[in-house]
Amino acid sequence: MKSVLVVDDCEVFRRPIEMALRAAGYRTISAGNGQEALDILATEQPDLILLDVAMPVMDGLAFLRTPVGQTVAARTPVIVITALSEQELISDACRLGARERLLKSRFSLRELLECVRKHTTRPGEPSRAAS
Amino acid sequence: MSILWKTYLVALSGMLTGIGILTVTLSGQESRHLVEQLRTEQRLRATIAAAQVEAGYHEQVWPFEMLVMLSRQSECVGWKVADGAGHTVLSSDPLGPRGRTAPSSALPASPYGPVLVHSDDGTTETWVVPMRMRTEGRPWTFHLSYRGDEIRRHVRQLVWDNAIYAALLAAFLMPLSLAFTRRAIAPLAKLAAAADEIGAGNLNVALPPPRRDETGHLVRAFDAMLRGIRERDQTIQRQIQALEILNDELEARVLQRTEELHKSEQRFRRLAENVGEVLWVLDRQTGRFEYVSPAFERVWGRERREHGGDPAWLLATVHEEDRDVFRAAAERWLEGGKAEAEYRVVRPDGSVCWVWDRGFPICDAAGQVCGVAGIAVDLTLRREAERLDRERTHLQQAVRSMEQVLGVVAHELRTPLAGVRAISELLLSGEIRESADCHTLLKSMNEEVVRMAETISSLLEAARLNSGRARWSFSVFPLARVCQEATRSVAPTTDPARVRLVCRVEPGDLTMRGDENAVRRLLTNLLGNAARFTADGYIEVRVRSRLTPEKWVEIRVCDTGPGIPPETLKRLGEPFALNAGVVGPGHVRGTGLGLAICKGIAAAHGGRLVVESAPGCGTTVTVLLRADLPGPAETDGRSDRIEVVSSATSGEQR
Repeated sequence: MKSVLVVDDCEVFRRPIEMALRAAGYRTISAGNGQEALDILATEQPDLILLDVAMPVMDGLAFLRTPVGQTVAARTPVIVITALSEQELISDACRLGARERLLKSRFSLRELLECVRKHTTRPGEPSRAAS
Repeated sequence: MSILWKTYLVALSGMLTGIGILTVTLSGQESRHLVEQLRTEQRLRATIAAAQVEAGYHEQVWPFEMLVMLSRQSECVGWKVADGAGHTVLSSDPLGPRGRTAPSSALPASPYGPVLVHSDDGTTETWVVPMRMRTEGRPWTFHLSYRGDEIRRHVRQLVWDNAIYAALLAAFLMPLSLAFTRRAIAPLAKLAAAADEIGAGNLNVALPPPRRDETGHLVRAFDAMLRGIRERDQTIQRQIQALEILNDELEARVLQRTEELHKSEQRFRRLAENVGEVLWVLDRQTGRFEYVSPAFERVWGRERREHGGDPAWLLATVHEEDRDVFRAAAERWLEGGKAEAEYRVVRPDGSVCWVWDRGFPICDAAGQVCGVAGIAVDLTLRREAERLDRERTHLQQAVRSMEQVLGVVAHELRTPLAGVRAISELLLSGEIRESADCHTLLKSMNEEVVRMAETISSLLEAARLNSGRARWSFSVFPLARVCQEATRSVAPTTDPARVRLVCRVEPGDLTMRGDENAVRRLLTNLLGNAARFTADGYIEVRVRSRLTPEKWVEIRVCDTGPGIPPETLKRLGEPFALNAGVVGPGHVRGTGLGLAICKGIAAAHGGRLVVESAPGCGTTVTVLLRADLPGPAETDGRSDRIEVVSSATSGEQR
């Protein structure tokens, strides 16, 4: 079973995403900010990371800049989900290894699931990860 | 021939003429005398010879020739010869009674001195002159006698003769000399006339032709002098002409310069009289204003002639508080220095006008400071411009605030909104079949919607407070009631097992005048913040009265939360800016709108907000409110700031 690390400080946003991912056959791990994500990454090796940018304690970009963040971003797909529309932040995130970005303002679960599926499926592999 | 020579000739001719006349006159008398004397001489010779022989002398021993010669003299009246013993040997008596021989005894003692002898009747006087001689070793004396009156007559005759000859000579020489003199000085007279002409200014006079004498030299010298004068005159004439040309040029230049000055002054007047600023000129000598431009009347609101150039009068129009400034500047100007002053002018209608006045020294051609010129600018427009500038800055800040608000809205609303959307999508998809999950999701969605509604109303309220358009309802209300209501509204959000909520009002019946709802909102906000961040410990509200000359109410809300880091503390005073553009460690949960609203409420009650906090030390918010304001304090909601005190720096620990 593929696992997804969801990093977001806003629980009301994180919870439906986790439920949807679980319903789609993924194992989910939650983190409230970048620091928590780093702690989890010490023991876990998720197949994909969904990362918010604006968070207390350690934001998404700071997380990507850490050595662990850099190593993880190199081997694990990172999808940035942000409410901030600043072009600079987004391009920073892309430069730091994010594969994809999703805007909260135009957010839909279907789109998210397709995106997750795309990045967790290797070529030739069945499209349903959980099956 | 020179005049000297001519004079000599005249004198010589006169002399010769005189001699000729004399010769002619005397020659007749002489010839008669000569015949007479020759006869007397013959007789005398015979007599002398006989007397000589008789006296025993050899012939021709006596000075015979001398005796003859003496006897010829008409003045000689007699003679005698005496021997060594004084006896008369021979006298002239034998020739006739022409005199009387003096006796030998009467001979004077001095053998050589003449002796005057008077006749017995005293009518005649005779001079006897003795001459002693020695012949053949024997002495003898020869006496000559002269009649005194005869000598005198002779002398008179001679004087008269000479006078007549002199008169004759003069009569002959006078016309001659006159003619000669006239002829000699004729060129001199002409020269004198020419000199007069020259003196009168006529340099073209004709000079007499030069003669070959002294006047010739004089005429030639005069001619040379005249030529010199003519040359000098011509030079002077040329110089005069040159001077006249120069003078004309100078006059033309003076005229031109005068015209230029006139134009320049006209330009200055036009400028000075049309310019909006007051131009003035101060005379250092008199210490009075020489000129004040007409703009004075607009700025000062008084007529120009009122001031009369008197600085003291002007000083009286300056606002009392600014007179020292004006006086100092005026003193500096009178010393000849630069100075500027900004002062208020009180117009007759009581209105006040700010004036910026700057004076600087003006120098004359020699570089001496002769006066001070200045310009007084009405600052009303500048002040208005400054006000507009401030307004513009405020507007820019407001626009920035709006952008920040939008940022806050974006962040604070988009995330929950996206969450709500995701939940609704999930629920609609039918993939959540368990009712417990459904319930959780719906509850979460509801909470989030309520929170968003609160955020929106806070946003609107903060905006309203900040715009200064809030409506207030002031009344007297008990603080204990408001405090309890606020505590009650916050209590459900805290865990009573872990957090203790304390509310203390001292004295219990403390009241204040203000907007009750607003104060409740303020307390609720502060308590809500405290409750959100305090997981363990207590939250305390303490309200008490503070009496300074005014009546104040102090509200303190303390918590034992994590405290606020200094960088966040700095941003507390900036409405809507709490999270704008801040991510990472500085990112704070919440919008920051609560405190902005509190600040607005405190300002409307004439008070202020002080936040003391440091990480790990909890937070204390102190609100000071005026308890006796009849209505909301004047505030535009912008200039008030939240005072922040870091406990780490203040050293205060709670």
